[in-house]
Amino acid sequence: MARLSVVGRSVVRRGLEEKLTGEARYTADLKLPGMLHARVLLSPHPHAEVVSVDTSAAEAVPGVHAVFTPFDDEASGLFAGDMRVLDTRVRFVGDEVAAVAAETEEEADRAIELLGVEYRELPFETDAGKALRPDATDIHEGGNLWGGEPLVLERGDVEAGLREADMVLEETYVVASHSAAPLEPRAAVARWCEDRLTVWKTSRGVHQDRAHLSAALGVPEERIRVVGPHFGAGYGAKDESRCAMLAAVLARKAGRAVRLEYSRYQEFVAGRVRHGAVIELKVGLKRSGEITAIDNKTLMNTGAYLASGAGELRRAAQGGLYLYRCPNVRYEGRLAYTNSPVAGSYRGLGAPQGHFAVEALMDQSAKSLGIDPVKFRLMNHVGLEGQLGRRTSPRDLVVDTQPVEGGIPFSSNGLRECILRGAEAIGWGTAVEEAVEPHLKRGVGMATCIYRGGPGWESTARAVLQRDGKVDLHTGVVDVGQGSHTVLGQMAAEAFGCGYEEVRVVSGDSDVAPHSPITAGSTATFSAGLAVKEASEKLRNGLLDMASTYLERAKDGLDVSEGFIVAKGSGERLESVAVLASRMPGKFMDAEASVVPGSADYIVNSFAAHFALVEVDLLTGSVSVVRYVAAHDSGRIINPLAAVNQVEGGVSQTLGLTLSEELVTDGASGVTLNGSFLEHKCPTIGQYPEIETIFVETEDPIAPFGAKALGEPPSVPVAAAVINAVYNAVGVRFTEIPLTPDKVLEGLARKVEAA
Amino acid sequence: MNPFEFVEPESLEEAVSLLTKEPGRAEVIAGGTDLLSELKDGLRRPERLVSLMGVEELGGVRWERDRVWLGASLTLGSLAEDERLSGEYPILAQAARSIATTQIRSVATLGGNLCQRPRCWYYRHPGFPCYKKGGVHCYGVNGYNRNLAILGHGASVMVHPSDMAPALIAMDARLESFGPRGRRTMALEDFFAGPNEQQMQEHVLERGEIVTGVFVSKPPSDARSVFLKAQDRTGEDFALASVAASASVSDGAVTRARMILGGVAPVPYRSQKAEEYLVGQAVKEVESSKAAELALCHARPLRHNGFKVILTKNLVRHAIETILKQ
Amino acid sequence: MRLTVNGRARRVDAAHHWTLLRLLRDVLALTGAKVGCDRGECGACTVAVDGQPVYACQMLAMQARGKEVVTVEGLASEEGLHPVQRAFLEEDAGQCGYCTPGFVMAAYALLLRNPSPTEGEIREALAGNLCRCNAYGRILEGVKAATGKMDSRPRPSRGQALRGNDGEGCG
Ligand SMILES: Cc1cc2nc3c(=O)[nH]c(=O)nc-3n(C[C@H](O)[C@H](O)[C@H](O)COP(=O)(O)OP(=O)(O)OC[C@H]3O[C@@H](n4cnc5c(N)ncnc54)[C@H](O)[C@@H]3O)c2cc1C
Ligand code: FES
Ligand code: FES
Repeated sequence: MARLSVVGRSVVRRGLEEKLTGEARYTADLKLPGMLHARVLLSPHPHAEVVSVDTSAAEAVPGVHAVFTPFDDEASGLFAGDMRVLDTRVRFVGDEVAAVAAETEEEADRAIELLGVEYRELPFETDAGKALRPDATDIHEGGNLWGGEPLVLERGDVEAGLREADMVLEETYVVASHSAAPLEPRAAVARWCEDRLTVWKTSRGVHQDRAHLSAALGVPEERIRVVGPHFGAGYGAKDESRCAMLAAVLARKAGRAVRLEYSRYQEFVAGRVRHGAVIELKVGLKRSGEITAIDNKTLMNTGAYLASGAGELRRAAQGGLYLYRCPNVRYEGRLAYTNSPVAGSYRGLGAPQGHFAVEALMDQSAKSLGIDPVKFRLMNHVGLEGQLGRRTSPRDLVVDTQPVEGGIPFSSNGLRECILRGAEAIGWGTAVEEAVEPHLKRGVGMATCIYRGGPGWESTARAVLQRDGKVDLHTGVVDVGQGSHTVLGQMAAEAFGCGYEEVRVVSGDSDVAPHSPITAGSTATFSAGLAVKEASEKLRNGLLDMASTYLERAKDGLDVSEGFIVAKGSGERLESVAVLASRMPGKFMDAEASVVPGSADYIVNSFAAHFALVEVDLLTGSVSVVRYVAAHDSGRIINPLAAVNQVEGGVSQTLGLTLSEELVTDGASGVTLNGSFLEHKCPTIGQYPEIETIFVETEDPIAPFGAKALGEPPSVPVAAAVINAVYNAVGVRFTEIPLTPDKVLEGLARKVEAA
Repeated sequence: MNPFEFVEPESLEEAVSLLTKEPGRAEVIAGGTDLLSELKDGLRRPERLVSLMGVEELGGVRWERDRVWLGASLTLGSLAEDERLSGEYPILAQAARSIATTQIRSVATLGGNLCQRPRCWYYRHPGFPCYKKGGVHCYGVNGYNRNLAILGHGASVMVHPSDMAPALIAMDARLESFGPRGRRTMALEDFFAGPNEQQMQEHVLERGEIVTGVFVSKPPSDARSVFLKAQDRTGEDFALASVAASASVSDGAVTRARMILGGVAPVPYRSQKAEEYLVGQAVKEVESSKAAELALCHARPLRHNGFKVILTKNLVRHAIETILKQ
Repeated sequence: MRLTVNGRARRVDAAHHWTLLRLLRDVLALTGAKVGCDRGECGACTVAVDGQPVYACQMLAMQARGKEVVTVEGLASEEGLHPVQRAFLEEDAGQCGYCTPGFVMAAYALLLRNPSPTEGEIREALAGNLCRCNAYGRILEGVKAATGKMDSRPRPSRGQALRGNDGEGCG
């Protein structure tokens, strides 16, 4: 791999210094002159018609300037498919019913208490399976099965594959809903100046937010400006909600700026959760270890609204369809509406659930065949050539990052090396060192992962050379905390030929930033990166044109390097970029590029293999991860330290899904019971294991500087790696996560009974 | 939070009079770590908070000849870090260290820990008018009751959340209080009251009565003890179950035993059966699993908390094995 | 009421039911301490009161009367970043940064009490701070790197209340 000067270095994360000093401003830190405080009322009923809202008492509270109910004209706007700004039907406990704005928080609270809402309660269902029964009450027109029919994806003939098998294994896996629970609750500040709206909000995509606001409020996009201040993260879960719309309507009604922040409890219930899933999986095996068929039936609970359910349902499929070389695969996915909190995007978007099932059953398969789990993976994992079969999609079309068909190779595939290097690092095959105490049992387990490699949506970037020789990089991409601005800045510096410090990133404002998609699906580095690289290269080209005239030298003998125009070959410094920039004819020089990322010839995917060493406490049933190895193929790593941070964070975060986090809804009332950081048990630094990160830096010809997706893959194989390690430790196959102490103790007791 | 008046008297008499002046409108605040959550969620709406932090006599640790006095305002952080206490009463430091987080322990007090309210999800959710809030129903009985009681339930199946309580009871602590009728002391065990005796509080204090501190006698030289706590998440978490055990051994036989279970009943649960079994046994003859069976012999698990019976038995066994090895 | 904030004696008006966090953020415009839960369960609001780490959200402003409060804004001095901040910067100890001020303050309070903590002590002291980005690995490295570097001399503070963003003009 060619050595580069800025890419590949652990430069200091952009914005971290102001975060460390407290200077960084997040949405809830903003205060506008005359700003009012808003509060929102959430439905206490899981399913009801809002018959009427008596606002008189609330309006009479001194200091109250605006009250917004579903019966107002502004309420009917539709966004994100099936959600209205406010609706006369509430579909879960936590659905927004009304909102108020007042001078002080106390007045707003008081007004909320005084709203007289009359509900007509409807039958409700919080369980996905039951919601699909014929006698269940419809939550949306068209019924509770989203799309009216299951999503079916297949390659080959799964029935034939199962018949061919010497052995068929079958298991049902259950994944509970849990919350992404970003530390910063969602918030928005809205202000109108005549007919122009400005919204500062917790955002991961100012342009998408602008489109949603426009659709919901019926205001043309040109008259809306969305600004994303520092963002206290979302992991996907902060989109598609009403917060900003409510602030905007209240601001218009009050004629004042309005700030709405959700409380922690509101963030838990009215925010977005990961889809709970029930996965019935069957695998056909030959004695030789060959996989003849994988049959996957998945049911996901999308809660009261669709949000990103469609993408979730699709991504839950890919592990079963593509991770293993197998001619006969089938996926039947169903997405059910229920009267529970809305499921939305959350890191990995369905893939963690899907991979949990596939990788747990593959572990069991290996065991049943008497083959070592690592060896079984090495025998069967999908290789560089992709799946067998003939490509059926048109050859000039960009290849889907999640294909079903065979016959398309990957642009790069380091899965095998991930498995080999990870196994070596954890000491696979050597005896696990026993714990000191006899009631602590240790074991190791592993799992692998395939994930979209980064191509997302069309992305635009603009690079501007200023007269002081610095480069402004304009991108619409929001840094959601993962460090995209750092990484994109590095790419721009590398492509243009200057130092990292010379690049300034301008972003997060829909009025000035070029159009960019949301920071989602691990696509920022790849998709925005391509646009950034191209725009920066164009800018360099423009500068070289100027340099050629100015220095009176042929352009093809010149280059830009580390802030200087240099002679190609010798590298002799001829002039600094700063001096040339100060002589520019115009105020600045700029270049823009729009790129539709992807390849017509290759599947671009990222890969990983994870290994866990766990300790199970036989007395308390608690599982702790002692050591963890995460080996990743995300192509070239732009910033090693930030990338390690990303992997460690993704693993640790997903230990929550695996071992402790669950958002519990009371069956009798539909009420979410544990919407707090105390009771929805996210990992703390106390649970943080020793994590070793390995990057298998494959060379990828399609990706910008060879950099593939890294944001989500670390979350994908974690659950299976840990659960497989627990099996290795205590000999019980657990199929439900989170694997909390109650499940462990009951599982151990069943094992004793059986023996 | 609803507005209220905050007052900080300097004497106990003044505090009691501020609490009793307009009955029902005033509450005690110590560190506020528990109370403020209740106020923010609107579970209680006092008009006045009477802070105890200005009353000097409630603070600190006082060493007496054959006992130690721990003031109600002593913070859990000081309790956990006091070297002499850790040396002479290790079980207390173990319990204190297991509670909440560094930040909470910096301000949470011993008195507040003993008087804290239930952590049951139905109780803490403003949407359920449950028995412990003055309603008629305990939603935990038929609801999601994984974290709730397996022993001693009555009108409510809440569990007492305090970790200090079992540890102190295992040391035969006595509680001192001061109220409109003056000062009194009682065995800490008798301080706690189940749901059938008290609906809106978990202790026997009268209106306006304040916990002033706790006395703990010097343990005999042959005493040993341990506090064990099982949690969903080590660190910030209440106990799924806890066991505070202490015993004295002389001439190879158990002469005194205390077995207090936390997190499994509406009050700290003293398992007399297990204690009776242990006393008089030769150390070598003790079957810890037998003691565990006895400790849980009255257990009546609910729909979702059967695992707590297994868990608590395991903890009892382990506690006995640990102290008998000491 | 009177209290000292970042070395400066202040007289402020605070309603009796206000939390210390509200006083800091809304009156003193010190928005470094964040609202993560407002229930004493996440650590985003951690500040030091008389040298002890506390949750500013779970303490009434009145309870801080007469005390010395240090917020994240009070750490850096004219000489630059505080050693804890510098170590965090070098070790990449943060992602979205929402938890960062709380972690910095918890680490600062730990190192005040215990200048060279073991890894176990660091974990225990920081277990009351959640990082939902789970940047725990880097945070651990950050605290380790700051170990032994704390300087207890009083430092001239770099500016008191940072100005709030007053919004921009009609745009
Ligand atoms: C995140 C979190 C985790 C926790 N984890 C645990 C845990 O694992 N184990 C555990 O045991 N506890 C735990 N707690 C509870 C904590 O220990 C208590 O909040 C704390 O001890 C209460 O002390 P305080 O001084 O803050 O009391 P306050 O909140 O001031 O008061 C609590 C209650 O006691 C009353 N009260 C206080 N002092 C007196 C007195 N002297 N006389 C009469 N009444 C009084 C008050 O009126 C109030 O009702 C946790 C709390 C939190 C917030
Ligand atoms: S905001 Fe104070 S602890 Fe969460
Ligand atoms: S860096 Fe995002 S919460 Fe810690």
